[in-house]
Amino acid sequence: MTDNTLLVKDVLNGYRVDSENIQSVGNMTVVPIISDQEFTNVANINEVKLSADRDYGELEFANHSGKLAIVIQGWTIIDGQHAQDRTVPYAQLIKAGTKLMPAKKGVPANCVQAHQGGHFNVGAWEQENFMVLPPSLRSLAIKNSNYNRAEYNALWSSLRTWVKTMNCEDSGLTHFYSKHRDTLDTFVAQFEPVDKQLGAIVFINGELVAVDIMPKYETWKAMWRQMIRDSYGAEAIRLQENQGAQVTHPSIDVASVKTVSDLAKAFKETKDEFHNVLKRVISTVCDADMDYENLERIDELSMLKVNNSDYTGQVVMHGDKHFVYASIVKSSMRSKPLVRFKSLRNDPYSDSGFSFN
Amino acid sequence: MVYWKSLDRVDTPIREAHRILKKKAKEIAQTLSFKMDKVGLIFDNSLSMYGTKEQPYHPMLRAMALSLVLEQVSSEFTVYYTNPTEDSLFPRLGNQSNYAEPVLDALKDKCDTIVIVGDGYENAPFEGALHQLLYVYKKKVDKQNNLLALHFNPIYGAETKDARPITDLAPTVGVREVKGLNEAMFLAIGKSQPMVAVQKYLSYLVTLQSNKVKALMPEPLKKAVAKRDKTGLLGM
Repeated sequence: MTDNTLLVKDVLNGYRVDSENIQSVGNMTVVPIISDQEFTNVANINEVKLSADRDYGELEFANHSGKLAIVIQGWTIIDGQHAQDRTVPYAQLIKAGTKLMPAKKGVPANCVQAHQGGHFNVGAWEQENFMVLPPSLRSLAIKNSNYNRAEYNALWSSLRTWVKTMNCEDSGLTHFYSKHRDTLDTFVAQFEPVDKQLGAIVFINGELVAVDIMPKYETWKAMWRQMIRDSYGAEAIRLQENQGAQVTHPSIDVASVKTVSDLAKAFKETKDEFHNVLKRVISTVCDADMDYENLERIDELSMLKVNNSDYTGQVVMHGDKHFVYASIVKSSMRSKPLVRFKSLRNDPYSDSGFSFN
Repeated sequence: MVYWKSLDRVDTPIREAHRILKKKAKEIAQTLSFKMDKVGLIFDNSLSMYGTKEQPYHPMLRAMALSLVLEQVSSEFTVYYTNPTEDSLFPRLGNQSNYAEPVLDALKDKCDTIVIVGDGYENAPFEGALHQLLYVYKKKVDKQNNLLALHFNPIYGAETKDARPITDLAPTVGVREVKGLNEAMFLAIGKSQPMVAVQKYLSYLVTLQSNKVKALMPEPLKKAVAKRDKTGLLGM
């Protein structure tokens, strides 16, 4: 981390890939990021609540814990109330509060439902029903707003072309989620959180689309549904609709198999080939420089915005070199030529503070 | 099992609990019409076997019950877990669903029957790995088609309105309770080897009828039949 640049692997320093628990179904692969140490000096996810909705371009959050809180990037409310569904384009820090005197902060918001007016009756909404935006929309939300100010309609034009088969500007994201409800629910059954998990590196259609880290084991577990279903699952469906599904699973080399031990060897080679391809892509992304910008510092936590030609996002730094939160997402919404797994060589993974063995 | 699992702490020592469960499994096994030789049971102990908030751990407990009963009708029996678990009364649930690698271990151990008990959501090392493995094994190694691979799914799949299959090469049958094992086994074998299934089931029905007739016989005839069964001669 120098001047105003850092590497993605700096963000992942101290974490490692759980290579025994990599999961891959259809066009999506989830590489778990684990660590023996979690960062506990931050509020639990259920202690940070939406407290008021008074302005289309702003939502008020309250921190009910005695620790600093992070409102995660792409936090989204989609509800049946006659109110405008909204998302939070930038992750935010909220200072410590108490149960009786929560610390409140108005944070910029974007509308994700153009043809609906009205404000939410926050008391009538189940707080745990929040969602998280898919990576491509998180990237657009960052691009179209800034940390302290957002136009409520900043995402509308992007939503119009987000999915080929549906105008999400007119119908809103709510129609996308209700149309694909069954498929989205399947993602929750297909993928599973693992022990000591704090985050994930996610591939869809062979491309690395997101690197997410949460501070605590409980937070990751509590947000599993939002991440796997609402965020990654929705992105997998979108890319399938826009480009077709690219399934990148390797095949066992049948030619060399005559006995069970040959089969075991061929199977191991197939698994290694799959992991080496993932390592290679992760290594390329990890070694890329990202510009960073300090957005806010409260006590020991700093909120940074990170950006390079391929990825954008936000990270929260504890002290001066350990990162406890990350939302790094692919920044290009239009599909570039895909990184095809089969075209990659099995190069060794570069040595870094982030390990994938 | 459901009661024990619902307790914070089981006071019964593990060995004693195992003995009780084994005794119960033996009783149930006596009602089964089939026997198996060298069986490898692939036990899905991934997190998705937890079930629902309303019925926590039920899929895992169903899998455990199946495992205990099938052990009683097998000449050799080994359980292969999809994730590491400690030696306690109940397997520990967690992590991914990798069916292929424990199946590979069972093949290495020369099991002739592989029974996979799991929800059918394979995600590691990648979806379809089990199908590939069994396909290559059957095509290149098991040319005589000696391996019988079955999948018992203890979870109802809402999206398929049935038990979710895992691969065509291991026929899937939904099993909610061990009492339905006879039928489940018949259906599962019937999907891959229909004639063998019919033969086994007919033989089961004949045995069942024969036992009923024996029960109605007068005592001297019963003794004579028992002697014949033992010596092969009718001792009258």
